[in-house]
Amino acid sequence: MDPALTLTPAQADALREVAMIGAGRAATALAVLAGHRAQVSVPAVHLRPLAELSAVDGAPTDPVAALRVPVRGDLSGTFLLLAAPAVADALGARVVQQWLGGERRAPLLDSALCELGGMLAGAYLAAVGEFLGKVLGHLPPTLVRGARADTLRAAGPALGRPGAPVPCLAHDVRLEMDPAPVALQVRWLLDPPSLHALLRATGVR
Amino acid sequence: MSPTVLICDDAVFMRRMLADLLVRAGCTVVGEAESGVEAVAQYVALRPDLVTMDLVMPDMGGIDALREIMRRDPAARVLVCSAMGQQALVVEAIQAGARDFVVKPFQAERVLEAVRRLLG
Repeated sequence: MDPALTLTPAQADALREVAMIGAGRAATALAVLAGHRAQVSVPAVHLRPLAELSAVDGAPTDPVAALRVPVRGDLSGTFLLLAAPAVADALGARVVQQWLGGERRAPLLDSALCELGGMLAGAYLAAVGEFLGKVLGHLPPTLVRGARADTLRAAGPALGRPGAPVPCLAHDVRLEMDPAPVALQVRWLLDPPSLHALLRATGVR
Repeated sequence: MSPTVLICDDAVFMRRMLADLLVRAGCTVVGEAESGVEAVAQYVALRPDLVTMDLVMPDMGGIDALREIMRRDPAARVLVCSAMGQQALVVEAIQAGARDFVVKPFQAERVLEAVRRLLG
């Protein structure tokens, strides 16, 4: 268990199960969209300030392409799909090639990535919502490129006091693309009331 | 004359994908909308035989646009295509007047089957 976590073991376990349920459905959606097999890691649960969270997965200055999807409904927060810029570009091109037969114009690639973010978020949230008996939705995704820390920080304002720990359900996805597999990071940043609501819904004290 | 279709989705990629499918099904795409507000305006202007409607769009979401279209034309044929496949949302869309609901990412044949059925 993450040493920074203050959740009970049972709560952390329940959150990991919630994340696994979402991750599985999202991976299926990704596999259909990209036409390649997708495998998910065992989810992790973090409870750290955003500044520290950006250092968990890599250097805060690492360039990333991020799909940011605001979550709304019975739970809220921000759903993030992060990848190295080259991976994002390759994934966008793959999706366009898979579904439109090879056109590679830049606006279409970014649109394909946004649509991918929406589909993954939609699949993840639908699975979690059905599991918990909650209705979860999201707003249109946006694609941002920049440093990892800046990307996470931009997702932060609605999630609580600056510097306060932000609950994060995290998992990684390995997509078996040609010529080599690529890695994506999926993060659901929750606001504190949503964390409490989620825990109540799991029934774990 | 081939059936006319209005495609409503904020992602140009998805609009292109659906357009390809619908043309393959023998339809003519007469308009595209990027938001719920635009969807309603385009419907009123074009009166297409079929509408494909995303749910998550800026300005006005797909459910609200669907309700507005149905208010103006109770006979409108709207096929919802959305990544939001939770049962409660599917039910809401059907109750709002959608004729069918396809969850993204979809198999092409699922969309073609729905279009064929809606257009009779």
